Amino acid sequence: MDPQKAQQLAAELEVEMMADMYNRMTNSCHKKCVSSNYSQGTLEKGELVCIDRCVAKYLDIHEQIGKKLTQMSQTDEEMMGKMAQQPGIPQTSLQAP
Amino acid sequence: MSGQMVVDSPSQLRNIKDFLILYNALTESCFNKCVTNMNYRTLTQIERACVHRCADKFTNANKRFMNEFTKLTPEMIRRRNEDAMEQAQKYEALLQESAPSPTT
Repeated sequence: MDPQKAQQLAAELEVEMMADMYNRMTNSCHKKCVSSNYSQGTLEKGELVCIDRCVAKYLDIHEQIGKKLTQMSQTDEEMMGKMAQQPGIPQTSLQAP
Repeated sequence: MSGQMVVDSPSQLRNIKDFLILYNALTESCFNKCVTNMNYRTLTQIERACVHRCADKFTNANKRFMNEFTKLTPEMIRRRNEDAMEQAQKYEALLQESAPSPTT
C-alpha cells in the first residue's frame, strides 16, 4: 500500500473516530446535564454551565486515557519483544497494534 | 495520533480501527462511571484516580474477553462446519435416491 493512500486512510479513520467520540460525548453529557423534564425548550443556566464543564471533563479524560493506552502499548510491546527473544514461546498478539 | 499510524494492510486497518473504537468506548464508560461532580470544570483528584483504575480494569477485562473468545470461537466454527457438512451429505443422499437411474 503506497504511503499516500495509507496516510489518507489514517486521516479518514481519525475523522471517523472523532465523530464517534463526539456522539458518545453528547450522549453522556446529555444524560448528565440536561433534564428530561422538558417543561421548557431553552436551556437553564445550570444546564448550560453543566454542559461546558461536562465537555471539558470528557475531553480531559479522553486525553488522559490516550496517554495511558499508548504507555500500556509500549510496555506490552517491550514485553513481547523480550518474550520473542526467548526460544520456544508461541507468538500471539492480542493487544493493541 | 494519526501522524503515528502506518496502515499497511486491510487487516491492520481493522486492528487499528478496533483499538480506536475500544479507546472511545473506554472513555465513555469511565466518564459515565467516574465523573460525578459537575461543580468544577477540571477533574477532581477522586475522579482522576477513578479514571485510572477504570482504564486498568477495562483493559484487563478486555484482554480476558479476547482470550476466551479466541479459545471458544474456533471450536464453535468447527462444530458449525461439521453440522453444515452433515446437512449437505444428507441432501446429496436424498438427491441420489430420488434421481431417476439412467437407462440404456
